[in-house]
Amino acid sequence: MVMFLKKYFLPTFIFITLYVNVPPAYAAEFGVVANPSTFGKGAAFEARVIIDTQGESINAFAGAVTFPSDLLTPLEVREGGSIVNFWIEEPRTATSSTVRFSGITPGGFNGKALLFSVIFRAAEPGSATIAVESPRALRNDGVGSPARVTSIGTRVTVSNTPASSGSIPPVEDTDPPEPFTPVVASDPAIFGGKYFLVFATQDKKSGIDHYEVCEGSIRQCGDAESPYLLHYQSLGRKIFVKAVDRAGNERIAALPAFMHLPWYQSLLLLAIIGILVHALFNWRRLVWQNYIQSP
Amino acid sequence: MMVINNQRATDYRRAIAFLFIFVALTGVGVAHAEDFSSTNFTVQNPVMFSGGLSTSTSFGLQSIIAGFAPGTSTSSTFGGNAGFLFFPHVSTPAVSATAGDAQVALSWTSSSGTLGWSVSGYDVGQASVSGGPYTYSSVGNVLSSTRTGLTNGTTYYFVILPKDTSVDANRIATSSEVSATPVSSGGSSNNNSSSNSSSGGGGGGGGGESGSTVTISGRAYPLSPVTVLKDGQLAITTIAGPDAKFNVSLSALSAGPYTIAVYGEDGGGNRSTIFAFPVQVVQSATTEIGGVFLAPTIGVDKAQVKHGDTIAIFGQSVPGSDVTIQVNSAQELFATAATDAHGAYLYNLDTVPLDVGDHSTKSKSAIAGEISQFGKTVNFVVGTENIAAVRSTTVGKADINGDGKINLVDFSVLAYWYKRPSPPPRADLNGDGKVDLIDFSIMAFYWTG
Repeated sequence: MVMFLKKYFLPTFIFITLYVNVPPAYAAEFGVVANPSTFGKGAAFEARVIIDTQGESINAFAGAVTFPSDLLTPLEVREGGSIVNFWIEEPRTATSSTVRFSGITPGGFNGKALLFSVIFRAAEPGSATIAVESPRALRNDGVGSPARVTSIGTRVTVSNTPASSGSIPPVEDTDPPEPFTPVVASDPAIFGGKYFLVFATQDKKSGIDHYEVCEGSIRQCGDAESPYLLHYQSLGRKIFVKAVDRAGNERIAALPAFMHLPWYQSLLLLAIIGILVHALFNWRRLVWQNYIQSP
Repeated sequence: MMVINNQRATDYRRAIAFLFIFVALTGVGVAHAEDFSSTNFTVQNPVMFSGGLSTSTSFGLQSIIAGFAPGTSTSSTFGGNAGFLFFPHVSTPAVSATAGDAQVALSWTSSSGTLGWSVSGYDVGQASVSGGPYTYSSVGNVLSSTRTGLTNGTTYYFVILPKDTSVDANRIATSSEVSATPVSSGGSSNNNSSSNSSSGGGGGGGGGESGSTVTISGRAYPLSPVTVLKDGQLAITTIAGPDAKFNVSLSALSAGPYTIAVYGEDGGGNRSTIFAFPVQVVQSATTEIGGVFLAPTIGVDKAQVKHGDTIAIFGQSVPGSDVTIQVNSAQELFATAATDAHGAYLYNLDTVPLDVGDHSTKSKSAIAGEISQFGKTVNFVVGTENIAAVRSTTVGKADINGDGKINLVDFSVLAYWYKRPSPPPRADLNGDGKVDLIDFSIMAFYWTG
């Protein structure tokens, strides 16, 4: 029996292991790509942050792009063409050595796609590693179970030779951001139940630079982020939301006054007005009757 | 039947027995079903029939791996399933085709397998006549391929075929056919409808601006609403035809990547899982997405069923389709039910074989060679009494503001409480006392736009 096991058990086990049914060890992969990877001092270059879900449907992504701040200076973040539909933490270059991000793709994403790009300036000569630390990818399974993740960074080399150009050309973009519809809402959970405005859109080429909200007039605008607490809680003024991409193209979405009230609140308002009109009419009639009956 | 080429048949039978045990230990291997019938006998427990599993020069493993009969295995370390109902399957991919200059860019969704069947790669079938014959190219385990060297002005037809992990890399499913007509870069590209284009409801979205167009076709539920989301925001709603087919288009799109998501609602108001599809839109081109197959809806009539009684499992899918119901228990059970003219299916599950405790069930649908993915999972308990199931009247706990939709408003409320202390209970979707990425993932799963 021992001989039999030696003769057939082991080959059978190897055969099965190698060919028949090896469960694949999939892991969602966060990667950073910089091509080329060698630059002169002062050069600007783009590092693309990529997600490869390796066959899994992922709907939430998070992490932090890290780099040595003494060698690399982050200039800007480009989100054009991102697979992320809604950012929870929008990637920004606010801190000198980390770009944090988190966002979701409703319905999930399965494949390989761009999350965002970071434009760096090669400040000092040396070798630098750009990588995604603390990567997280959650499955599109209704409970947010974590997918196995790996992170593959990229190594760039900055030479002593001064770069011939210190900038990379901007993205050619003449298209405005995608059409969108802002929504006025209220919820006891935020802003003390006051009315707020929510909005979001995308720009497929250069990415969204900022939003502006205008209450009452298109000339009275200010930079804003969603959710935005409305100044005029009476909702009696027109609201404009302007989405501006990084190339300066604008998309304006307008909400007419009152039209953004929920229907039941509009009916309530009409009912109150009706009651007041009715009361006024009765009061005038009473006054008139008293006047007629008076000697 | 197994054919052995030398005299030591007994030992080889032992070897094959070990092989089979390891197949069972590591899941179920590749298998093919060959149906047959006779007036003289009934096949109640057919075995799996496979080929090409071994390339050894010392012996040939040509065909059968025998299957366990239900109940013949008592091991706690592996499970054996037998019979046609246990045949593994893979879902058929949805495919997109975008015409270019002398080329067509194809992309598709990944096929998901069951019972251990996994996909090792894909073949692209290409033809100049709808329905083939196709010429096949192996493209590896990828989800996109660009077919080049095509003639501008000629319509090409494509299918995607997932392959199994066996040595022979057998083709185990065939997608719906899509088509595209390459044009020179000086002209405008155009896609024709796929051969199985909808006879049901249709609609169009966007307009007012020049740009690219995406058409989406597939199967949902008869005469029921189908919603299309573009990058998570509501793009268009249409009604499927009596045959459950739908066909919609989105126009005035910019060039770039989009996430197109589709979900349906059956006649009872039950929402399907979201079918999401990433697509790279090309400037001034039409992209055709075909083969979207929404999984069946599912419900049960009892939240708890008395052991030994039956529990009704029901839902809706495409009329005339075969629905496979999987019951996840200590021993997985499978059952089939045919849908009626309205797409409804019903299966009364006898709970005698089930243990007392928690169970769940889900279903998938198959028609005309297309197979959906599994849909939502519904839980039930086998216990000591019958308790009727209460139908949920909301779209889910992710509907924070209770307006029947899960969209940007709910996202904003959640984002407000992100990493803040003491969030309100309705914003803490998984009840762990904080709002973090997990809560957003739950919301993204139930998203309605």
